[in-house]
Amino acid sequence: MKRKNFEINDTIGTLDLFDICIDINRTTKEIYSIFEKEKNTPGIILTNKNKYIGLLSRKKFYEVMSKPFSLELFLKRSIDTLYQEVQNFEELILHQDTLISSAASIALQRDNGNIYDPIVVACDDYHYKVLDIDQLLIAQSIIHKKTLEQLQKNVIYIKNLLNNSGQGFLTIKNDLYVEAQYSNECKNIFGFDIENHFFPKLIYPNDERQQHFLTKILIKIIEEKEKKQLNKYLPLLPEEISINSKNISIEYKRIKYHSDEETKKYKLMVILTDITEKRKLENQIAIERNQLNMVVQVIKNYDNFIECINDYKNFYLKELQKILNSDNHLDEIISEVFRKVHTFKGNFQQIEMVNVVDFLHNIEEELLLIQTKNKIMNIEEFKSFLLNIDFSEKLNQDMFFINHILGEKYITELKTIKLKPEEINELEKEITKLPQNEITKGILEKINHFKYKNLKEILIPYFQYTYKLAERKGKLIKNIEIEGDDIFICYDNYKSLMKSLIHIFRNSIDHGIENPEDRIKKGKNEYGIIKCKLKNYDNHFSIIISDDGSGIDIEKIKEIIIKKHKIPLSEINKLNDNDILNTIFNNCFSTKEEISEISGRGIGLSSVKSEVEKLNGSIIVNTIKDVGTEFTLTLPKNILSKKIDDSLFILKKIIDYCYIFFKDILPSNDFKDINIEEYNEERLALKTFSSFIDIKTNSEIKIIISIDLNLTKYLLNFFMQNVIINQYEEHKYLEDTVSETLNTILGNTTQSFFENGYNIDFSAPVIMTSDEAIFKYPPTQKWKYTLNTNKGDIILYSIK
Amino acid sequence: MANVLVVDDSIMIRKLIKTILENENHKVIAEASDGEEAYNMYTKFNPDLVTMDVSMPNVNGILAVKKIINNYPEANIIMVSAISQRDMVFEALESGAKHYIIKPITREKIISVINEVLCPIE
Repeated sequence: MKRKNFEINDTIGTLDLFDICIDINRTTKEIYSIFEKEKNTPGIILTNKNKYIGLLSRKKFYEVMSKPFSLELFLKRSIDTLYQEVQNFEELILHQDTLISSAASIALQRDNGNIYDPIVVACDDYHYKVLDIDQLLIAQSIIHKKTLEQLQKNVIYIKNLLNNSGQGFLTIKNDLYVEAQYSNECKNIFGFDIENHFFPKLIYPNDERQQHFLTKILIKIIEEKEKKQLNKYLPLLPEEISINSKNISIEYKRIKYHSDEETKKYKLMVILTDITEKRKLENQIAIERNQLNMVVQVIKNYDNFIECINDYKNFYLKELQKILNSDNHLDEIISEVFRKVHTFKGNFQQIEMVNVVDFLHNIEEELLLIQTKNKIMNIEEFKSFLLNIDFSEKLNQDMFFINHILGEKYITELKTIKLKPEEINELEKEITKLPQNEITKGILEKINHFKYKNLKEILIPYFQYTYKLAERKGKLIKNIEIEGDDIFICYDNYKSLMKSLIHIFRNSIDHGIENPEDRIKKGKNEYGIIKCKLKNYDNHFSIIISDDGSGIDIEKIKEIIIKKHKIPLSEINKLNDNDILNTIFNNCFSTKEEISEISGRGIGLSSVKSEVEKLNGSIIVNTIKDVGTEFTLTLPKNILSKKIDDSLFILKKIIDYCYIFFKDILPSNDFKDINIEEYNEERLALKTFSSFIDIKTNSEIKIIISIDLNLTKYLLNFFMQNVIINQYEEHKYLEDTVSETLNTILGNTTQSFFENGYNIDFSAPVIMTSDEAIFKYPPTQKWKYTLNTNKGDIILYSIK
Repeated sequence: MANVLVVDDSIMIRKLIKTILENENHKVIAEASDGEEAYNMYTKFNPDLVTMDVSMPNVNGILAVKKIINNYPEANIIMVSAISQRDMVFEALESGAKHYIIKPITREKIISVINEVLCPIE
């Protein structure tokens, strides 16, 4: 009964073993009869009082017995005698738990003379059995076959796995030629069968320098014996390459292919993954981000944007023809076009209109080739080259996107951009969430421009109203002229006032401008003139509305005052004309009855005045009989922002943040005195490093922050974490420390004002170094704050 | 604690490396802003370790490594490089540089590379 089935990890203990032993004190005849009877027995275990002595193999026994006289010599004697004769033979003893495969390998390593000898198997409890070498080899061959089958299955399985993984797997040995076994995906990636191709050339087909580098480092990596060195070199291999316009990421794995410790050999497994789609997605995201940037830039630089587009359109629609048709030499023409294209590229770059910039960049490259005679063209060819370029396509692409984001209504005829107030507020909110810097500050200012309407645009609807009114009243007026500065105001805050202005226009038509016949009689043009003039000042602005009508009749006003208020003429005559004129803004004139009596003004002027006063503004009227009337409204700007008119308040805020700042840095027991006082002297004592900061709110405040040398040095150490600074550079670092400190403190302060709805603007700190200078300042309200610490002192002054 | 020569044409990078090293109780005994100066400083101060920028004006980091190693084969030089310069880093390693740091420089990278170079555990 022979076993047919063996597993790879079966041991020799599981094989059929011969369990025959005999005491060496018995006679050789007994052994002889066993060998004769049990023809399969390969050997017998010899014992002496149950102790293992050795193995007597069948082969050896018959070898000795076949010699002349052996039978006579040994048969009747003890086995021991016989065994003495064969003792030069050493049997192989293996434990029963030895793997069949190992046992076979060990057995076959014996000398040729005894390679087929049976093996002694040492079982537990000192019992020994005999294993026939034939049986061992049969078992081994069955296991071997099984292993091969399994291996083949595994190879197929792994190959399937690799082929279907969507990744390219290939291996290279130190000759760097791709080995036959590689996954299908490699073919897709490279586009051809890569077996036996030189790997560095596959990766960098056109770059010999990189091929060279890759060759050297790959060989180094494959042959490197030390793991540490290997880890050093592996990260230097390229991680991503472009093959056939595909983005391929590469990973590397060094694998052993010769397991023998002494002749250890490695090859490199290369894993290629097509990440084109992933990159595309990332690019798409980047493009979208760029496009959003473009929109922000368009909003930020709206005037630039409009100008740029108009110029550009003008260029490709008209100017280009003109340049091409000029009598200039071709070289000059090329240069001029080049300059233009270059300028437009720069301009569009500023507003980040990416598509146009790319497009212009390509044209620029082309022109450069022509200019440097790398591409020869005559004037006609050059003309047709340029005229065949569609300059509008990329612009339209970018414009499409801008329209898409801002809505097509917002950019109409490239003249005005309109955003709903809530959209602007939303945008403003988003931007204030970003870390505040010069750019965000700039954007916020620009956003204010949107919130703030141009006053001219606010006034224009009134003109339409005035024309219609004039028509109804049978009066002729010329188009109302509006001149002066562009003033941006937050319409919401001036809404009521602006609505009241209608009274001024209405009065001009009703009572100022005469009938055409009367005007002709007075020698005036039959068309009356109404003018609107705007003047911009730092903190306020003026609206001047004038007409060339009949003016206000002071005498008639006096009559009304007498009649209405029963004031005697003698009293009235004590008042000057101006006082009398100003009574037109009183409520008493805003009744129907009086209107007809006053030649000129009356209705609603009081409401104008009250609106003006609500805004802390003023209104003045000037009038000359038969020449005309002029109203001047003067109004403050920025009435939206809450007023911070208190230098102490601002100083206190700064101090708060100053304190917080130093508390984080200095150990608490280092604080000595904190003191705030009104400061009445003109002379301000300064410490080593001082900074002057202007703060603009409704009034201007100057803050001086002064830090002494010791404290600054302490701060520098703190920032640089005890870096030793060379003394020549120290000064520069100390100054940087002061500005860093101030920027932190002021940044926090601005933020807190901003969060509370205050509008406050700090100038960039200017740093001054001096040895405890004295600064003289005219007598104004000053506050002084001192913070004394064990590390040094800091003084803050606020000056109104 | 090692005496270190920091070579980089950017004062900012030098400062950064210096700060990190000194926080680790190493001492920056000299700085150089190009390869030529680096060699001279090496000769003068014989530092335990050099951090060497790969690309610098005049004499670049590779040449500096070659020159230093040529005269002081035992020198411990660590290259500082951008990822795009891998071939140059490789060349520097082949020329005898002990290790490298790929920018951006971080405390962790510097510490691990320096430890590997100065206290190799086999």
